[in-house]
Amino acid sequence: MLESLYEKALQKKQEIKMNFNQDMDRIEINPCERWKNYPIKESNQKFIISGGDGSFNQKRFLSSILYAVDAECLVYDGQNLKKVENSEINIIPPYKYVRDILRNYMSIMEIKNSYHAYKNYNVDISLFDGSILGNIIRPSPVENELPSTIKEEINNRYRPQLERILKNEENTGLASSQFSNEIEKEFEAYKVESMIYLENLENLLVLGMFLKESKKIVSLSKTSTRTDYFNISIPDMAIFERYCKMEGYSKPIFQDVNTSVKRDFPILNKFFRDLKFTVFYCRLGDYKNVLKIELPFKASKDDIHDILIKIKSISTEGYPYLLKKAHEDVIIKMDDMVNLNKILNLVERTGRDML
Amino acid sequence: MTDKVIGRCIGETSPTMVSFISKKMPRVGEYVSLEYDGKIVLGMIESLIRGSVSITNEIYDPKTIEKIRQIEGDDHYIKGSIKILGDIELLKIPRTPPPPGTEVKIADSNVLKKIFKVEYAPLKLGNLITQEDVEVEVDINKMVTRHLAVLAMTGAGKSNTVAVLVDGLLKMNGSVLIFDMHSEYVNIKFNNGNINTLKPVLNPFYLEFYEFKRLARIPDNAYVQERYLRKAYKLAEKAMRESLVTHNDFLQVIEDQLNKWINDENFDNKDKKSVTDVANKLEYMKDRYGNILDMNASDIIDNLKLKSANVIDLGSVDEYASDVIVSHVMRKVLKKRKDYLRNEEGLKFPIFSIIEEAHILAPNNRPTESKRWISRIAREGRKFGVGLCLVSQSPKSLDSDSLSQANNMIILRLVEPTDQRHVQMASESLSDDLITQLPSLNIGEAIVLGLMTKIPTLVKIDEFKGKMAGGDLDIIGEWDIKIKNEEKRLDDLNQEYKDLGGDY
Repeated sequence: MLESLYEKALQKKQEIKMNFNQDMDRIEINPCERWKNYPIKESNQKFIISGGDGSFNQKRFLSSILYAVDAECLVYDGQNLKKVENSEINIIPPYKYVRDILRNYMSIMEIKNSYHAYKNYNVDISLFDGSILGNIIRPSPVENELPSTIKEEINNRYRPQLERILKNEENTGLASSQFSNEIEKEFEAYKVESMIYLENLENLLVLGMFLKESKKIVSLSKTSTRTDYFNISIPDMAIFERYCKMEGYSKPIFQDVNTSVKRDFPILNKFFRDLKFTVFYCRLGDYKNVLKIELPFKASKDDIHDILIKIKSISTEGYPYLLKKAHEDVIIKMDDMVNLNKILNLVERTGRDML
Repeated sequence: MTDKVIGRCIGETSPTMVSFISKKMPRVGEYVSLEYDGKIVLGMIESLIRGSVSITNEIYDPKTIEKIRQIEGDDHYIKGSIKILGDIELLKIPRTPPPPGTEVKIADSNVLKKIFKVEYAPLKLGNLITQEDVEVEVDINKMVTRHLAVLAMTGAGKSNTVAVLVDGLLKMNGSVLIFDMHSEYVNIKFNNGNINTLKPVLNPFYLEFYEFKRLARIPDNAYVQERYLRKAYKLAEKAMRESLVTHNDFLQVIEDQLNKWINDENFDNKDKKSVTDVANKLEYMKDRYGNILDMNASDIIDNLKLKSANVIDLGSVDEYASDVIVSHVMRKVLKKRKDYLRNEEGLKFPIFSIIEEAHILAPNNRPTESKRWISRIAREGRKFGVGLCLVSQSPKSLDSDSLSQANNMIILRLVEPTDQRHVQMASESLSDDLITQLPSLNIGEAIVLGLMTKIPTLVKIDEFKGKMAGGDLDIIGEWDIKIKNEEKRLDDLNQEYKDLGGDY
């Protein structure tokens, strides 16, 4: 860092501090009207809950990218802790969509793990780190890059095969990769985009299968930039964090996928469009972090209370312990990538060796 | 070897030290085996750490911990370090380190029994702390010739350890000389030999001049006093050699000579004061050390017996006199052993000298006469069959030279860090990890190191089966007895009064 940045920081200290959170100080709404202080009692009843997370990382070489992806779902039945896990390591060419590809891999693994846990351990509540709604409505990165004819062909040819594999599959790994050689030959000009499209189909298929069977899927986000509550530029989460300090939750809002998404889904369009989500913020303890919760159904007050009670029962420091542990277990750090590469012994200049 | 795999080696290993990780809980001091490169290697677990990936130092709420424990159960990891002791056949340190991932197994009891068995000259010290069915024997020859230090804080089991050692030596017809600072061993009853109690008396006639001078408290820089005392001493010696006087008169001859000079009008007045000082000091010596000076006493060395614990009872003697007695006896023992080996006249058998409260007689921070001879025996005793056992509850105060000459150590519980460091400096085989175990040893448990044992070991020392004096007093019991005796005395008096018709 240049030393002049210290000088700049000193010069602009007052100005930046004045602007920081300035908007928050000026808001003319009363956020507490949308917040219900509610002491959440922990549940004594027996239930089975799962929580999962995933991670990916990459090490770039000039000709290839070494990537690693993993995901874990922990299941707790009140006495024992079980886990479902999955991981993958490979190389891919340095495409421009690498992050999207890896995020998609991770997402497929996370959902498959949770689905597997749901089916095998009779899970009552499946916790997700992040947003299922975001997963559904986020368009494929190649949405506009791939000709519709190819999309249609992939959909017609591979979707039934994918569905068949997913129904029978015990393996929680990527099913799409089984078709990679075929796709490379068939759609040579769009091989990368075609593969990403297929993986995106797999992601939606798995999500669809899971959502059809279970409604007790709870997505928790630690951060959010959504502004649905107050219609101002400041995220709802920041406002609740600032003004509503006690244990409780915000009055829920309901979101139709149909109104949120203009385009059609490549598969299960009607099912996804008909989905209704309940979104609210909560604190699981006084002064603990605000969390955003999404439920894939229109939840009643009792539903919300029931879910909050169960989540709090397995939470530490205001956050579900299963998600915390899964996060700590799966996280792939750069050091891990270095260690993995020691096993593979891939040697090539990264282009940054001289730094 | 048994198939009890407890973990696997991790990280970088060396031919002498490896780290391992385990899911089962072994014990510090436990022996393990590692099989690699076509050999089986024995090691000892020196340290253990138990941790949890989830319950870290970053948690500040007990409720959080409670919930994590509830969800995760006792999912702990165990990390430890193993000191490699050598291959199981010859205990030679391997030339290659074990590969990471090597299985760590609990060592087979039969292998350990073989290792701790001494075929020739065994002394059973106790059993392994971690594998109680394995008896630990030490090699007496190596213990006596290479000297021993028994170190422990008060109440950790020093006296019991010494008693076990002595009984073991007596079983092998040994001869032990105990400098008993607290009269602990006088009434002890060994199973394998007798007690030969020796009075702490010195015949001034057998003292070297410098020992005599020291007993008379003539300072080293009082040259005039020393000159006149020497003159008088030589005259007394000459008179005795010429049979003009008897042993009994030895001191008297010296005193008479001093008085003669004092009363001599022609005597140099300048020196008269010094001679008077000497006479006064001699008077003081007789007064102060009258109880340890015996003109009829025979040479203490002549009274040492084989298959006996020869106990010099220093309980009633102050530290200064103890120093004189111990240094005198140690000097004589060494000399007489040398004499015997040169011309077969002198002390006829090797002897193991046990010096209790060694830090008083051989302190670290001031010179004493005993220290000089202890240090000399520590250096030379091996060649002449004079073994040394330094027993101390304050190792930090013990002369480091003497301590480092003790090639064998039995270290019981030691809590004081300075004591631990001092001991570690004197023994290269006492690692940092073993040092950390010292405060956690229970009474009677010891780390045994040195040439007398093939490998360092943690031993539960046997409980001495003979009758033992010493130890802590039963204070309540003593009070109770006193009260009961007093009540009985009053009852008896009352009865006597009645018998005499006093109740009329």
